[in-house]
Amino acid sequence: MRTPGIRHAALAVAGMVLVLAGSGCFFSPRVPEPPQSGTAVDYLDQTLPENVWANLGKSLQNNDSGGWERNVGEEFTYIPDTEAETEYPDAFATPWEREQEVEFIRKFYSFGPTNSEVKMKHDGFDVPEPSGTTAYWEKVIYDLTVESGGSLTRYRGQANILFALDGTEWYVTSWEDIGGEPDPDDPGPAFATFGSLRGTTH
Amino acid sequence: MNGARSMSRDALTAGILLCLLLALLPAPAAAQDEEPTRDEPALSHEDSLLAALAEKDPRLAALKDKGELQVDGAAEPLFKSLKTSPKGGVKATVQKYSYYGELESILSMRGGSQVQNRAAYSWDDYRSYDKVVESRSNRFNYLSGGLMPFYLDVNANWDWSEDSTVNSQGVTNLIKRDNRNAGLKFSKNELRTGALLHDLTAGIGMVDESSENRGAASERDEANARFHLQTGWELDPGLVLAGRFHGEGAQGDRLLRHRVDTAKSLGDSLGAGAYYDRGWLVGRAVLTQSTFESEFLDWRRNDRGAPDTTGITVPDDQIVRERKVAKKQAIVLENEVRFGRVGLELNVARTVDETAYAKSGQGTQEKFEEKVNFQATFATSRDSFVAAYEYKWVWDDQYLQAGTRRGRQNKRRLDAGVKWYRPFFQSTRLAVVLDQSLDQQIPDDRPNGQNKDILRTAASAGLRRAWGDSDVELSVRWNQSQDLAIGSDKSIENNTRDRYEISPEFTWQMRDWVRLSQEYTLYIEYRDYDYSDDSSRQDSYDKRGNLTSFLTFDPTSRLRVSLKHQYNRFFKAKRTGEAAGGGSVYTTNSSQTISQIDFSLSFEPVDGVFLETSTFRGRDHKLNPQSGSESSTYKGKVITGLRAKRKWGSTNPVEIQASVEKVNAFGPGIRPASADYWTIDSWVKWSF
Repeated sequence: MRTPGIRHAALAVAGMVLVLAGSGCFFSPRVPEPPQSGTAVDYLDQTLPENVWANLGKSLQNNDSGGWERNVGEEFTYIPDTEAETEYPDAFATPWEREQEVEFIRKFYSFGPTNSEVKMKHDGFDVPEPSGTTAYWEKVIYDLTVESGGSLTRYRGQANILFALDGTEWYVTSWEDIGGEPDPDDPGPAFATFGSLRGTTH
Repeated sequence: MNGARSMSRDALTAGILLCLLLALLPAPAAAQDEEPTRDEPALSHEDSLLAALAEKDPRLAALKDKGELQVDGAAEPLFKSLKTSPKGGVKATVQKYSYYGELESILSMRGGSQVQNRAAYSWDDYRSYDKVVESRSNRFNYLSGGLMPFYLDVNANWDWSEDSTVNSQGVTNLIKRDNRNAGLKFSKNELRTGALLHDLTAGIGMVDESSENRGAASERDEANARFHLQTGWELDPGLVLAGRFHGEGAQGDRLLRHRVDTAKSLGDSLGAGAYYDRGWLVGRAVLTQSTFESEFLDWRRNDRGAPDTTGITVPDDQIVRERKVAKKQAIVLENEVRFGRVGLELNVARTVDETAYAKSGQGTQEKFEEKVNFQATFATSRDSFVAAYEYKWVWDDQYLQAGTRRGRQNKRRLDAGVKWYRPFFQSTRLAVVLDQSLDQQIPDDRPNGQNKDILRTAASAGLRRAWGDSDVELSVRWNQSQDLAIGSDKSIENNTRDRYEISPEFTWQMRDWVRLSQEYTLYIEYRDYDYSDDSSRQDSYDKRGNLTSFLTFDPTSRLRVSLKHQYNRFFKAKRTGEAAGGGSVYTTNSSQTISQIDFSLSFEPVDGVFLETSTFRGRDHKLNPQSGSESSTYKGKVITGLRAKRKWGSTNPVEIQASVEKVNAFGPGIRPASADYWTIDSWVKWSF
C-alpha cells in the first residue's frame, strides 16, 4: 500500500532530526560572565546528608537558587505544619513537590531578601548516621531571619528531614515541619515555620 | 453587629432547610417527562423494567420498539433503601496512634435521588513528639438525581479540629478550627430556546469559620450566591459557538483578633469560544476575562506578602481593611489534525493577570504567560515517530506600595524531543528517546532577579524482549546538564554534568511457582567546573553499581516466600592532575559498599488470615583510600505479624480487618521510638 519511497523519505527526515537533536543543536545557552574573585559560594560535596543540609543554608545566605535546587531531590515533598496549612490553604491544597519548591525558592530570592542569622540545625543536634541509602533526621530546629523591604521576619521551626542517595549524591527528599519554635534565649510565642515562608511566597 | 450577623445566618439556614425539605418531597408527575439530567443513571427504573420485560418476551420487545409498551413509574417506591454503616478502628504506626470512628448513612430514593450523611471522629497521638490532634466532622449531601425536573445538590459540612503541639521549650502551640458551610445548587442542562442550547447553574450558600492560632482568633461569617450560564449555538454539524457568564458574590463579617468589620466580594467572568470537530480536524478557540474584587480584614503585610508587625506596638494597627482586585484575560487555541498515519497537534495559550492590593506592601503584581506546544506523529509499517516542541515564556513584575518597581523576572523554557519506536523482530521492541530543554531565568530591570540558564540533553535507548511471563530488558541512558549562572557573582559554580547509565535486567519464570529476576545498574557521572582552574572547585567523577536479585516462591496458593539481595558499590574520585599523554588523572578519595539481604514469608492457614514475617540485615562499609580509614555499620529489622480480613453475612454484613505487627530494628538512625514498637491497623464495620 505504502510506497518504499515515502517510507525511506520519512526515515531520512527522522534520521536528520535524530542527528540534530543528538548533536545538541536545538538550543544554546547564553555566554556567562567570568567569575569575580572571592565571591564563590563554598558549597560542600553532596556526599553526606549533613553537607546537603548545610548547602541549603549556604544557598539562603547567598540568595543562590541553584544551590537550593541542586540539593533538593527529584522526589522532594514538603509537608507543612498545621499552622501553615491553616493560614495558607491555597498554597498547600495540592501536594508540594519539587516543582513547587523550585518555584518558591526562585521567587523568594528574586525579592532580594537579606537572609541573616541562618542556622539550619540547633546546637546539640545529634546528626544521625545514614542507614544505607536513606538518612532520617528527627526534630531538627532551624532558624532564619529575613530582612526585606525594611521589615524583619523570623522563621524558626522544628522539622523531620529525610535524605536519600540518588545515583551518586545525597538529596533532601522530604521536609516535614512539626511546628514553630520560640527563641531559646527568650521564650515567648513561637515563630512561624518555613511553611509560612513557602505559603507567603507561593 | 453580631445580632444582625446571627439573624442573617439563621434566615439563610432556615431557607436552606426549607429548600431541603421541598427537595425531599415527591416530585410532581410532570418530572417524569423531563429530559435526563447529567447525573441521572443511564437507565431509569421504568427503562430497566421495560428492558427486562422485552428480554423475556419477543412480543413485548416488538411493542417496546414501537413505543407501545409502558410501565407506571410511580410503582417504584419513593424511599428504596436506607443503609447505615458504623465503623470503628485503631491504627498504630511508628509515627502515631490513631483512634477513629465513623457513621455513614445512605438513603436511596426513586430516580437515583440520594441522601448521604457521614459523621467522623478521630484522635491522633504522635509518638516521637508531643502532638495530639482531635478532629470531628459531619458531611451531609442530598442529590436529586432524576427525581425533579432540574438537578439539585444540597450540602452541609462541619469540620472541627484541635491541634496541640508542644515545642522544644515545653510550650504548647494550640491551633483550633471550627468551620461550617452549607449550600444548595440548582442546575439544568440542555435547555433549548430556538437554536440555542443553555446550561444553567445557580447556587446560594453560607460559611461560618472560626479559628484560633497562637492566641489570635479569626472568624469569617458570610452568605454567598453564584450564577453560571453557558449558551451554545450549533451553526453547522461539528461547529459550535458558545458564550459563558459566571457571577458570584459574598457578604458578611470578618473578625481578626478583636476587630470586627464587614467583608464582601464580587466577581464575574465572561467567555466566548468556537468549538469544531470535523473528524480529521478537532479544536477550539476560547477567550475569557474575569474580575474579582474583595474587601476584608487582614494582617498588615510587607512587600513579600508576609504578615509584618515590625515596630507596630498598638495591636489594632497591625490589622488593616484590605481591598484586593484581581483581573485576568486568557486566550486558548487548540488544534489537532490527522491525515492517515500523520498527526499534528498545536496548542497556543496566553494569560495576563493583575492583582492589586490597597494596603499590603505587595502593591500591584502583574503576570504574563505564553505557551506553544507542537507535536507531530508519524507511523510507517514498522516504525513510529513522535516529535514534540514546547515554548513557554512567563514573566512577573511588581509595583510596590512604597512606590518603587521590583522589576520584571522572565522565565523562558524551550523543549524539543524525538521518540522512535521500532519492533526489531517478534516480541522485541526498540525505543529511542532524545530530548533537549533550555530553562532560562532572565531579569529585566530587577536588581535581585535570577539570571541563569540550564541546558539539559538526554538520550536513551531501550530494547525489550518478552517470552511468555519472562522478559529481558536493556537500557542505556545519557544525560547532560549544563548549569550556568550568567552573572559574574555566581558563575564560579558553573558546571557540566555528564551521567551515563546502563541497566540490563531480566525476569525468568523458572516454574509456575518460582520466579527469578535480576537488575544491574551502573551509573557514572562526571562533573566539570567551567572555572576549576580559578577556584577551589575540583572536577570529579562518581561511579555506582547496584545489583539487585529477587527470588520468589509460591509453592502453594497459601504460601509465598521471597528473598532479595542488594549489592551497591560506590566510588568517588577528584581530578588531581593531567596525564603525560593528555587526559585527566583522578584519585579515588572514598568508596562505599552496601550489602543487604531481605527475607519475607506469608502463609494463609485459613481463608482470610495471613501470618507474615519479614527481616533484613545490611552492612554499610566505607573506606577512604587516601587516609586508609574505614568503618562499617550494620542495620537490621524483624517484623512479625498477623493480618486478617473477614466478612460475615451478605444482607447486613459485619466486616473485620485486623493487622498486628511487632517491629524490632537496630542500626544507625534508629531512635528509641523506632527500635521496638507495634503497628496495628484494625477496624470493624457493620452495615444494616
